[in-house]
Amino acid sequence: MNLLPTTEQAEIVSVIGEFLSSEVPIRRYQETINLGTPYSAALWQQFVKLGWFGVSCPEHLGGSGLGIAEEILLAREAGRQLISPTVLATAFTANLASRHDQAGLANSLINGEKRVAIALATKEDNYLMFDGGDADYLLTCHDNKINLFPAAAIAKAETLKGTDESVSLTRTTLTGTPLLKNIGESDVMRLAIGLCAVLTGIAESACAAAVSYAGEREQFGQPIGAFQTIKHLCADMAVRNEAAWSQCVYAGLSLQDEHEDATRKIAAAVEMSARAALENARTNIQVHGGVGFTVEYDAHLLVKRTHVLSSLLDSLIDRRKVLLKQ
Amino acid sequence: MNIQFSPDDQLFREDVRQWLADNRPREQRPSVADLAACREHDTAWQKTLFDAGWAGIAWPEACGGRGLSLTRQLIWYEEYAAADVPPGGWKSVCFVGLAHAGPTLIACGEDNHKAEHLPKILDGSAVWCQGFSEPGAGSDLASLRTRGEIDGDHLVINGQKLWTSYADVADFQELLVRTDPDAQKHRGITWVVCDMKTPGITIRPIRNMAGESEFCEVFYDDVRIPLSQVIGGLNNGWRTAMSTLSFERGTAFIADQVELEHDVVKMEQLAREVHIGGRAAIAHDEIAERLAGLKAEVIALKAMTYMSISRNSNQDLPGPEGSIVRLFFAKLSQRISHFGMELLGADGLVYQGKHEELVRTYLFRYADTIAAGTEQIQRSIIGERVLGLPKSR
Repeated sequence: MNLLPTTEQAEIVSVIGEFLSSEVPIRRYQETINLGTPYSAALWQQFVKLGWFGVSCPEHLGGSGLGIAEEILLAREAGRQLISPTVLATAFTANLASRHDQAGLANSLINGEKRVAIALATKEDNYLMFDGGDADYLLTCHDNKINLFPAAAIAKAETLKGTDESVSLTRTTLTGTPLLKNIGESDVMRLAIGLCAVLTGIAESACAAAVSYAGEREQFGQPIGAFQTIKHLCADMAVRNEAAWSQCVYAGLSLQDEHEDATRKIAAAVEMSARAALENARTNIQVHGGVGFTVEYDAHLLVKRTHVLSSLLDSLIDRRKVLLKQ
Repeated sequence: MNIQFSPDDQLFREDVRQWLADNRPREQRPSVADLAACREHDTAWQKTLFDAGWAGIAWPEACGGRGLSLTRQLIWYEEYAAADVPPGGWKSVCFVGLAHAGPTLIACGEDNHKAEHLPKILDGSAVWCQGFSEPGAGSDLASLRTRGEIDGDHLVINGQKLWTSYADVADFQELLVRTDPDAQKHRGITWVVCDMKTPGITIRPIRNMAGESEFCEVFYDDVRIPLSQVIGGLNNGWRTAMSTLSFERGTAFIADQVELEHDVVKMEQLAREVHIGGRAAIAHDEIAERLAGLKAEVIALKAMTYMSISRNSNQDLPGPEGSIVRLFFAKLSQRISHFGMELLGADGLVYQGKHEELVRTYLFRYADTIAAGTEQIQRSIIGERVLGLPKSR
């Protein structure tokens, strides 16, 4: 038993982390908010070159043959820089397709030819699609189930103003039948734990931003981080990070090893990571004070993206019911 | 990253489970109203554990331990918590010896100190207590004023210590004294082993809010301790004490963290038994939501304990991240028992009978955010030593 990354895993994280912070840092939203087409073809190819979409696909399909551990390590890095949910959805679907005898589909996602956007069912029987502008497939989350539709199934699409302006938002109506049949609970849980890891990355990003600002910003003649009121807010953020990440790893590995209580552990990961992300994102704004309330800092984006991801998770797992089941 | 226990670990787990099933004491631990009986009970149980090879599982073999991994120690605690056995953590009189003094002697003591003290800690023949806090030195431990003056080959101790659990049944004390009053406050402190039978020691028990008196004030009046009992060097006691505290915040409470899972199970049972407004408490949305949250948190506490063991397996001294788990544990334990008190309603006003244990636990838990460093101190440690925030000027 060891929950720390291996040397190889740490190496992957370091390469991915450097790529994201130099090519698609969270600061990019200052210049290019709400483009609707999240990443250019060239940028998408950089993700392909890093092996992102095939990380857990078999090697004969062009993947790296790794597992859930690596998936959540990547997802956490994606959360730290608020990477488009399209990246996560594409990687998830490539793995899903590879295990459902859809080698062609898997391959087209691994090599970057096709993309998958994620969408959430609303009460009105339509879907809210995130960053779906040029997606080829749609992964829908609805009532603890997921389905995969081709973009051609979109019968109606209406562009909406989103609460989270860092992703484009489209209300869509779908017709036709899904591409993959019999997507089971363990697949739904695999998507869920990935989203939990993204939320944990957001929580960590919020903590890092707050700590950095608290160390620089001076009031009353010293950095505000020297005051216990601020220092202790930051400490509580670190506690939430540790709880969320430890639980993501524990739950993710339980799913990997097919433990019978994996779903329960994932429900706990949902609770801890959603709580950590929202509380930390909120605290980060508080630590920044007035500037944290403006769009000139990224702090507000962490709050808004957290709501998107938490809503997706709520449509994938009934956290309370799972946790209270005897 | 993996959560697999090796086949050898699994065998170890089965051995532990079987042994506990066959050997666990059937009688209750005596009430802490009778500390001498508690000592007799806890040390006899420790002797049984020692004879069977379950003492010092992760201690080095050279120090009388089994030299096994922290993972094995965790397995022991997990099985221990699952079996119905006497308290294994801070409630036992053996706790300070096993979780503080022992590891500190291993890390900082000379061979003669180890040979003298470690075997007696392991087999339960010596009980230890702690002498760190003072009336004027609580969170600001380094401002302690109990004097240790050198007189020939002895230290002569004068002063007062506070919050010393089991002082009146202990044989030895890990004692912090000021040996250089002129030095900067962290530099004039010495960590020394005090034999509690030395003349000049007066002990006054203090009653805590749960109505029990397991901790005490200790007064020192010209208490003479041989200089040979100094651990880690004269005036170097702060460093020695920091290693003690890193064990306290890092690994000492693994047993309690593991046991907390069982507290939540009890609360869930209670929420199904207790009725509010004609329905089981758990049928109320707000109560169900809170209970689900608490269950998620104890699952996460276990994950954090695993993470902490993963980290500590690679280092000699637990790092400052221990404060993260300690703080999370303390706040959670309080919310769990407070939840139980709310479920009980008026029944929680009766401190005897069916719910006595739940009420006692609730009252005791107030100490969790004070003992081993207050929650505020833990937050400052996390802020400064984990996150690197500046100290206050």
